[in-house]
Amino acid sequence: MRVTPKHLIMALITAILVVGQVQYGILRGWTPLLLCLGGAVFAEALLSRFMLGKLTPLSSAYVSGTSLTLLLKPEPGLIWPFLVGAGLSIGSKYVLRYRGKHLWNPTNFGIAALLLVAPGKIAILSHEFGNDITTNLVIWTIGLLIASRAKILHVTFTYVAAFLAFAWLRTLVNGHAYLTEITPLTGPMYQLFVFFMVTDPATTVATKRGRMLVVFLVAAFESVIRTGNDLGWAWAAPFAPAPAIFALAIVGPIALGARLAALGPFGRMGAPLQVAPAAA
Amino acid sequence: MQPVGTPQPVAARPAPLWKRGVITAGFVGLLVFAHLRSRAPDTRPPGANVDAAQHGFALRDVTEAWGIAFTHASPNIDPVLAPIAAQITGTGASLAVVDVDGDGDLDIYATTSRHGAPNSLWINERDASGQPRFRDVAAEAGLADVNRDGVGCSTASLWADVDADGDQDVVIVKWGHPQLFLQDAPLRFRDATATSGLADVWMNSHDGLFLDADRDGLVDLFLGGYFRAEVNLWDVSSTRIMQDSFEFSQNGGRNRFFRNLGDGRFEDVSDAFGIGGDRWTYASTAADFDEDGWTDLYIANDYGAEELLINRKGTGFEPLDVDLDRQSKSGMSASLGDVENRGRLAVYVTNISQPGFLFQGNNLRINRLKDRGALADGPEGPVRNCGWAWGSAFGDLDQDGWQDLVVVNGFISADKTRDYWYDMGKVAGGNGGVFEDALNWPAFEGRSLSGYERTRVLKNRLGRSFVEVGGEVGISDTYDGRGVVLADMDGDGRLDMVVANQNGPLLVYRNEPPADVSAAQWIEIDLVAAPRAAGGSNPDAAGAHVLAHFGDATQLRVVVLGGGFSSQGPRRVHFGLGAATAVDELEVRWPSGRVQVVRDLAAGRIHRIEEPSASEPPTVPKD
Repeated sequence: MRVTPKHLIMALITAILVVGQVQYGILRGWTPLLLCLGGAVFAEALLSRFMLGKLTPLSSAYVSGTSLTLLLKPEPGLIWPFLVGAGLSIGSKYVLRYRGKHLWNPTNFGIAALLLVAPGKIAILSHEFGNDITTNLVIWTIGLLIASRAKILHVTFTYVAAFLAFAWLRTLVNGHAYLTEITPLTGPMYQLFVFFMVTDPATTVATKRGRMLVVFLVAAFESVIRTGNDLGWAWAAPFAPAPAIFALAIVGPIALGARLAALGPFGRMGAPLQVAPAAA
Repeated sequence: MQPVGTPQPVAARPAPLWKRGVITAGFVGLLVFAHLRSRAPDTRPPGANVDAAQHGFALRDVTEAWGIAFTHASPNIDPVLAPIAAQITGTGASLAVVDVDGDGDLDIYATTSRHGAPNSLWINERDASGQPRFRDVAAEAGLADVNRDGVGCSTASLWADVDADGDQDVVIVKWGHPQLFLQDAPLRFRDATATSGLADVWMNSHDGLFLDADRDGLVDLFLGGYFRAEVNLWDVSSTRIMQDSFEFSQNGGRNRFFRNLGDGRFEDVSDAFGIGGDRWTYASTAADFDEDGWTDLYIANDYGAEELLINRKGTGFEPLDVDLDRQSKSGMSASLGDVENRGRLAVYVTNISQPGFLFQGNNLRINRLKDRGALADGPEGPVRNCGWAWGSAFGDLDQDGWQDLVVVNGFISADKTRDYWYDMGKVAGGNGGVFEDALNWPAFEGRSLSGYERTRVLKNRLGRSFVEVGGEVGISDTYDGRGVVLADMDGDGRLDMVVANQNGPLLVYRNEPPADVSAAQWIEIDLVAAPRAAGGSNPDAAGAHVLAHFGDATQLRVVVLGGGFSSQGPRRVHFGLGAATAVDELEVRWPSGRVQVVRDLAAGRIHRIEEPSASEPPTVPKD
C-alpha cells in the first residue's frame, strides 16, 4: 500500500493521542475517544450512505474524531458534547456547502459551534500536555516532516510568521512582553492547529499564494480578536477561549466562498460541484 | 481537522431536496440541543423570602447579629511582583472553629495576611437568650500580632492539644515562619516557637494538619509547601517563582513532617517519614484509608496530581498507586465525608471550572481500597462544577441522614467588566519555561478572574446525586471564599456555616429549620481520649473513625484536625438522623487502635464517649 500524506496525518494524530494519554492521561477515561471517534465514523457512514448512496472512506472521520477527542474538554460527566461535536463536525460537510464544496474544516466548525452555542459546558484548554518543551519539540519535528511531505509547509510557515509579526504589533497596544504574546504558539494544542487545521486543503483555496493569503488573513483576524480582548471589547469576549479556531472558522469559509464564487458554478474543472463525498 | 490531500471534484449527482432538508433539520437540531443543554446552574442570589421548608433548612447571615466583624486583607508583597500580585496573594483567608476556651461552645480563629493587621479570636459568649455573642480576644490572648516583617503572614491555623495538657494550642501556618503558641492559662497563649523545633523553618504554606502518625498519643504536624521555601515573597531574589507546568509542576515547596516530642517540641522527620516532594500542596486530610488502624495522608496539590500516602505502622508514609498520578488538576481542598451511607470514606478535592477555558472538574472519590483496591468515582453532576472552587466541607445540613456538601469559590473579584481568563489562556497553554517567570504573565490591572461566584450548597439525594440549592436556601454573598467550616455554633443541633473570604468579611450563616420541625433529628459525639499514660489516643482523638448505624444507614465520620482549605472544623462529630430517633450502634475506631462499640444513643443531645483504658485490649492490634 502506498503511504500517502493522509496516512501520515492519521498516524501522527494517533501518535499524539496515544502519547498524550500514556504520558499525561489527557482522555480522562476512554469514553471521550469512544464517543468522538465512534460518533464521527458513524455520522460519516450514515450521511454518506444517505446522501450519496455509498459508503465513503472513513479516514476523514477518523481524523476528525481523534482531533475532537484531543481538543474538546467539556464539563466532567457530560457525554453529549462528544456526540454532538462529532455530529456537527461531520454534518457540516454535508449541510454547510457552497457550489458543491463544504466550507468549514469539520473539526474547526464543530468546536467553534459548540463554544458559541453551548458556552456554559464546553472548554478546550483543559490539558496542556504538561507544558513540556520536549513534547512540543516532538510534535514540531514530526509535524514539520509531514507538512513537508504533504507540501503544505508554506501554509504552516506563513501562519507562524504572521502570528509572530502580529504578536509584536499587539505588544505595542497591550504593553505585554513579546514572549507573553507568542507563548500560545508554544503549546501543543496550538501546534495541532498550525499543522492540521489551518492547512486543510479541502477547506481553503487551491493556489499556493491563495492559501498563504488565507492563513495570513486568519492570523490577522485572530490578532483582531486578541486585541479586542486585550482592550476589553465586548464583541471579542465570546471568541476569547479560542481566538485561532474562531478566526479560521470565520475567515476560512469567506475566503473559500469567495474563491468558489469567482470560479463560477462549474468550478475550475468544468464539472458541477454538488454533492461531495466526505472530504479526503 | 482533515487529512491533507487534494480535494476531488465530484461528479454531479444532486441529492434530493428532501434529503438535504432532513440532514439540515438534524444539523440544526443538534445546535439547538447543545444550546438548551448548556444553561449554566442558577447562581442568582435568593429572593427576599427563603422558605426553609423547601429543602429542610435555610441559611441566614447572622455575622453582624452575633457580633462578628472581621475582614481579611491580602499581603503587600515585593513590588516587582505587582503586575500579578492579585494572583500570588490570592490566598490567606483562613478560619478554625474550635472550642478554644473549653467551655463547650465553639469559637472562631480567623487570619488575615497583611503585615501589621491582627488575626482575631472570636470567643463564643452566649447572651441572656442563649444566642451566641462573639467577642474578639486575640490581642489579650496573644494571638493577634503575628503578621509582621521577618516572620511572614498568616495563611491558616492548626489547633490541637499539642503538649497534652488538656487545652488547645495552635500552630499558625504562614508564608514565613510557622509559629507555635501554647495555651498556658485559659485564653493566654505563649509564643513557644523558639523552643519548638520550628524556629528555623521558613515555608510558604497554606495547609497542614495534626495527626498522630506513630500512635504515641501526641499529635504530629504535617505542613504542605506551596511556593519554594527559599522564596521570600516580600523580597524576591528572582521572579522565576511560579509553577513550571499547569499540570505536572515540580518546582513547588517541599512538604514537611514534624514528630511531636512532647512539651511543645517537634522534630523534623520529613525524610525519615517519606514526606517531601516538590509539588504545590494546597490541602491535605487524614484518615485510615486502608483500614489498618494507622492514619494515612491524602494530599491535594495545585498544578499536580493528588497523593495518597499510606502510613506504614508509624514508621513512615509510602505513596499508594491508585491511579492518581495521571489525573492532574488544581487541587484546592481535601474534605472527607460519607456520601453513600455505607460507611465508606469519600474524599472530595476541589478544582477549577470556567466555561470556555477550563473544566477540570472536582473529584469525588469513594474509598474502595478494601474491596477493590482502588478509589472509585462518586456521583457526577453539580458536585463536579463549582466554579473556581476552594474550601469544601461535608455535613448533614437538613438533618435527613445524608451528608450534604458546601463549596466556597471565586478567585479574584475585581472589575466586573474586565476578565483575566483570556490573559490566563495566553500563558496557560504554552511552555512552562515562560510562565515560570512572574514577569511573563500579563498584568492583572484590576481584572477579575472567576470572581463573584456564589457558594454552592449541594444537597445529597439519597447518596445517588447532589442538587445545588445555595440560592434557594439563602446564600446571597459572592465574596471570594477560601475556608469553610460546618459546625453547630449555637448548640441547636444543626450545622451552621462559617466562611473565610479573601479580602472579604468572615461570614457566619445560621442554619434555620422549617417551622414544622419538632423532633430532634441529630446527634453529636464528643470523644474523650484515655490518658496517654494509659495507652490512650492523642487528646484530640485526631484520626478517630466514628461509624453510626441508624435506620438503614451506616454513616462514617472522621475527626480531622485540618482539612478542607485553610480551615479546621470542630472535633465534635455531628450526624443528622433523618427519621431515626436514636443511633442504634456507634462504633469508634480510636487512633490508638482500640475499637469501641456503644449502643442506643438517643437523638437530640451531645454524647460523650470515653476511650477505654489500656486494660481493655484493642480490637485492632497496635503493631
